[in-house]
Amino acid sequence: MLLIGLILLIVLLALGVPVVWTFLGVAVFLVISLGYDPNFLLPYGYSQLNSTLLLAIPMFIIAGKLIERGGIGDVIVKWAEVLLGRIKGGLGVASVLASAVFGSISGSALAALSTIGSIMFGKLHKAGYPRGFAAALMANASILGLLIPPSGIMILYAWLANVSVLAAFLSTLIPGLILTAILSVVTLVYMRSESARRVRAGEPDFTQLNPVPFPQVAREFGRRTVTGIPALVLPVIILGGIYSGILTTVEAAAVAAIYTIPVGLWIYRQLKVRELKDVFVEGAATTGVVMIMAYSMMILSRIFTMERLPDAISSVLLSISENPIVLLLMINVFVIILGMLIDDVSGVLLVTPILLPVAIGIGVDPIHFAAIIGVNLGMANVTPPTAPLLYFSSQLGKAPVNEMMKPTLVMIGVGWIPTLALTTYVPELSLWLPEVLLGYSPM
Amino acid sequence: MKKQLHVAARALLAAQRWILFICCALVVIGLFAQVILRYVLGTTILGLNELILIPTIWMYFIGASYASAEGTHISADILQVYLRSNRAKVVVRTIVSTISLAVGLILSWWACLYIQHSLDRPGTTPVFGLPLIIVQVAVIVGFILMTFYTAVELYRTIAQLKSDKSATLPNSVANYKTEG
Amino acid sequence: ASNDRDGALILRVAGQNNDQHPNTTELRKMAETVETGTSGRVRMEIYPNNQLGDYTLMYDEIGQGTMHMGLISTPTNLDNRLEIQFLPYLFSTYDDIDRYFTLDSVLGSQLREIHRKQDIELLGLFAEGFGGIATSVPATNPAKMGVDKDVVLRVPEIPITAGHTKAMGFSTVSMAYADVYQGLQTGAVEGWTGGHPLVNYLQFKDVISHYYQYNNMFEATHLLINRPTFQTLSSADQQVLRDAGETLTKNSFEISSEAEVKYRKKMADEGIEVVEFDEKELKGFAKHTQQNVWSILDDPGQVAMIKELADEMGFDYSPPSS
Ligand code: NA
Ligand code: NA
Repeated sequence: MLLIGLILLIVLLALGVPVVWTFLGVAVFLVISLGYDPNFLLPYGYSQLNSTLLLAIPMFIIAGKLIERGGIGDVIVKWAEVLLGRIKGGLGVASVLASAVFGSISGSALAALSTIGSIMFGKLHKAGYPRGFAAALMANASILGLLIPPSGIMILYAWLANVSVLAAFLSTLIPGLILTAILSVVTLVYMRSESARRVRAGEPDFTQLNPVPFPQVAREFGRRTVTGIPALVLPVIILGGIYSGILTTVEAAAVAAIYTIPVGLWIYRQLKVRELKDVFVEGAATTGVVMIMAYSMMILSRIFTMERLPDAISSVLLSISENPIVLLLMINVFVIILGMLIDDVSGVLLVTPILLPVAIGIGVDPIHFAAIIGVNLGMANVTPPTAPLLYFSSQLGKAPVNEMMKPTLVMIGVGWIPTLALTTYVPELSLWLPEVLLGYSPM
Repeated sequence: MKKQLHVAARALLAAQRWILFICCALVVIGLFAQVILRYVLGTTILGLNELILIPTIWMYFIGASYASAEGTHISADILQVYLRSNRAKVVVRTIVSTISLAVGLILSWWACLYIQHSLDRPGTTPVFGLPLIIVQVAVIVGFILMTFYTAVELYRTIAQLKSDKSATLPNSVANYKTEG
Repeated sequence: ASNDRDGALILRVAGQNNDQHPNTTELRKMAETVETGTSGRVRMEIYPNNQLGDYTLMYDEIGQGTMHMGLISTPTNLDNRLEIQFLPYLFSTYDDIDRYFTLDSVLGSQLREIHRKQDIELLGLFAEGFGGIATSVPATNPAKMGVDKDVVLRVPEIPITAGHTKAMGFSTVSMAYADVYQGLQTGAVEGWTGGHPLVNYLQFKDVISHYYQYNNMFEATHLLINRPTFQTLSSADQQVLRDAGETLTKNSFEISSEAEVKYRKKMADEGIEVVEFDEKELKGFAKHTQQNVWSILDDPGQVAMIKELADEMGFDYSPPSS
């Protein structure tokens, strides 16, 4: 029956049934076919939603929306630009860097893409970057928004796995930095070879947009830092607040949201008072989407737990191999395939309750597993056919999806897969920071 | 008749927007107040968390139903992207809406049972002793609204299927949305 | 209401601790006893570690019968008389526990009656132990009640607990349990109440410098079973479960008192200053608390319960009339 349930899950998802109705539909099927009394399901989902930690997700969503409208992305972009404007391909690297820095105030890739992307695409196009490459780069770089703490996905993971959210945040930081470096190198290499090709073919080469003359870089950097202070304080409030222990995760997000309102209204003057209601309503609606999915998955996973699905998966996996390296490979391949079909939020909701007990059973630390899941499902956002960030970036960057495919595959091949392999097989990458900064002791 | 329905739908969505705005603002302000109380006034309000919980749960469920109206729930749109013929797309959407509606109806029914159960065994919050039912009602309101908007969506795809003028396929109930 | 496969009645049992915790290991032992004792007619399927939900939900489900059994904390949201479990210094020593915290004591029969109202049968009581207060700074005048302790203390959102620690002389801040470790680490709070030595050693030893064994709380979980399910059993099988529950109760007293000694020693070995109080001091604390704090539980049902308990223990309790 469980197997039929899992098949039904895949079929409904593939058909395009909204994830929330898919999860609930499978739950209904299992309840009826296994003869459970349905009375416990809704109270169970409700009791799980009733969590302060989970409240951090809407707070980060709303803070993200306010930040998006508040002119804070401009500050970060200008900052990255002055540093890298003179290098060939530097604007592309600046986009990566800006996404990474933006990641330290936002909890989602989508927020990073819509904020940084909407500023960068114009510039990248003007400088002569191929549209397909630019859109692919922004889509991939925006995922740094969820690998660099804070991260909505990691909040969900910590909630599901019942582990420290601070440790979970830190687990994906080093993988995120590795990816930042790889994406930067890919951009430089690609742009140089593309530039050489254009020169050979007699096509116009890239232009550099008002590069700051070298001797003035330091001064200009200083100037932009000063005007940027109100925005650049945000990572200090959020990450500083959380890791110094002054604020809890949810409080940090709420303080960031409140802080952004006057900054956007009166300092950068991009936010309008009459927009505030819209921002809150949009934020609450996005919240509703995530939370109802979380609620539905709780209901479904309760049945999975009662039917001991994780045990069944463990024993199937262990019958194939007992080697942890092979087992982790199998888990990763499974999540990659699942990730082609679904987005990161549905992915973490589905995978954590089912596979975390399996991972713990083979000796993988839950915080290490957080990083594996974070990187793997981060990649899921750009692996077709279900690749929300790819499609969104294609709209935002006015690039046809087929022109984005080749650069995306390159970034997956030389960026995501190696990062995932390193994260999986070098646990220190994810565990070192939690150990040093939080005194976390891995199992 | 049709016009009145439009007006009613618009009023419903406007009401949902206000509920979302108010709940969301209350939560943000409540959390911010907690920080201010702790660091500026050096105190805490016992039970503030259970008060914040009330608008939180309402925000979750009204937000989810509002997303149903806007058609913004997450789904894997593989078929919508890869199917060539418009008719096939509409057929798939009709199937999807039918399945969603069926699940929605069952869940709405379960939500009724849940509320009935809660009324039979009335619980209260730990500090202020507020009846839990004021929060739990959000669950049933959320599911009924989600199911309602799914039914509207199904009605539209079926109408589409009949007329088969797939060129101007409305995306969702969001067309009712008021401006601003 | 129970799953019925290969003829055996399968009871789904909720636990709230990890696999190594005595709460879980004792449940597993009980499961073996029950399976043998009923010749395989009744099997207990254990879901430890809050796998199926927290105690509030599990309690509700045991009442409904969607869960059959549990060894869990008891929530106060359905019947506020269960707040009696937080009443500080209702018991102050293990002698009190042995005498007044059994299934056939006055408290035992009160609890049985409360659970029955929810269609739940009480089969046993599992002593988790006496708690104290752990701090990251030394408390001033720790043995003097009502005198300022110069410690900002985290309290749970339970009025009687918050009121009591305040009356002891602590400044109180309410904070979610999940945030306590970090709060102690960063100095947002300087101590917390509500943990016995095991919890303090296993989870907080890195962030505390002092542990005061105030015995200001006595934590226990209850072994509960859905009543209609229980009544479907033959009376012989019911007796097997009752006996096993009784054994679990007895074992728990030994386990928890031994664990207290063991983990206090371990804390001391870690360099934590462990402060204990003698019986006379503890009885003094108890008296202070009865006079100044117990009246916080002012619901008529709660007051009636406390009066009955006071009668059994041989002292007079008259709350200041409001
Ligand atoms: Na982030
Ligand atoms: Na994907």
